[in-house]
Amino acid sequence: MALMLSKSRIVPTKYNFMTTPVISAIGLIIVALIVGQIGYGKISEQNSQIKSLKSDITKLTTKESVLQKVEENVENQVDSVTMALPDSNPAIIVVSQLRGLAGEWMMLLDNITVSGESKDKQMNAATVNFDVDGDLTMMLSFMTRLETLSPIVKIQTLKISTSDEIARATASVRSYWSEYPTKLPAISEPVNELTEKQIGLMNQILQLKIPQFYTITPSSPVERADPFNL
Amino acid sequence: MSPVNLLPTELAPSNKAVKLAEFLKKFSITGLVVLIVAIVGLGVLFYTNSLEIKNLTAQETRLKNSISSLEVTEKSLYLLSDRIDKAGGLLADNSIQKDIGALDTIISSSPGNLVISDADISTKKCEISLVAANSAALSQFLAGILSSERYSHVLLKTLSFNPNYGYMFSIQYSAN
Repeated sequence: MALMLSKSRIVPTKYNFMTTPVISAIGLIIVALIVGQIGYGKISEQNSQIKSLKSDITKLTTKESVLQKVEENVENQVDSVTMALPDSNPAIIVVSQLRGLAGEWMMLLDNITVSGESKDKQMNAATVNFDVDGDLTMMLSFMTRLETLSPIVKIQTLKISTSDEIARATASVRSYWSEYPTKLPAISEPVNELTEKQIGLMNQILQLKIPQFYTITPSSPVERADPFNL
Repeated sequence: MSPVNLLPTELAPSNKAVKLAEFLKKFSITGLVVLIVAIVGLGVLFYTNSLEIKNLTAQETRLKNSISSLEVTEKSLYLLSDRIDKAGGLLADNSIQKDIGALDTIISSSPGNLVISDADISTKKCEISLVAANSAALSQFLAGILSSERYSHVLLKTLSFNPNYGYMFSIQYSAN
């Protein structure tokens, strides 16, 4: 009874016929708003996911094609380039290279010393000092070819004195090394091909004379002859 | 027989209210149809987007696997780039090799007539004592040094003549 009274107070009896259309319209608007909000949110989320995936796929496709393109060449070149600037002190290899070059130019190399490590141009460096004897012209040619050796060496000082047509030089060369990078960029990060400048430098490095290493292959054991039963 | 309204006039709803109720009914029915169509549309869009996401994810996974299989190449390229950039600084460095090369060219062009008695070459300066058999060799050496345009300071420190050996001179020069 109380409910009926209160209802009659809110909506007069003569307007009872409007209750259903008004409630339907309000309900529809509310449902439309909810559906719109949820639907818009979901579709927006999907669209941004699609956009992000497409962007990633473009980057990955470019990366894949760059890597496939350089695959053959890079692996051949990396050895020469890492030999030119290795990750550990190359002083021993430099000494070997110096000896080889001295032999080619008929120079006598002695008093070879390797000094301690230092930092130079944000890289580690070791200094190799040596004396060399021989014909002056040949010696100058030998010296000019030092920087064609791999690992990269830079002549720091050169002192020459000549007596009786024999020249004696004391030289100091610096060899360099640098640690390899320890981290690869993330897989989705783009990879860049070598620039024109880098290719130019690489060609310069590839022309350096790399050291020859020989691998002695182990021989299989041979049967020892019995010296008492010949 | 025409309908007879037996309700008292004060209980009859107003015309405006009747029209509003009619409008709200039509609005609700039309809105409901539009809402159903919109829900279906959203459902279709959601489904097609889901399919597209699935395809794109599969494509991304395939590419990632392919790139992982090329990891050795990627490492090599990264290493190559790192080494070249670092070595580039060293190669561009102006060492004394050019000074030695210039000296080699000058000495080789006058064999026997020009002999180095002492040389001290460093990255800062070159100090050389030479013996020139004749004035032509002396002028050739000086012309060679001056024409190289590499040296901003050239200083002839000593010059003497000995009839037995020729011109003995020492020169100091430094690069730009």
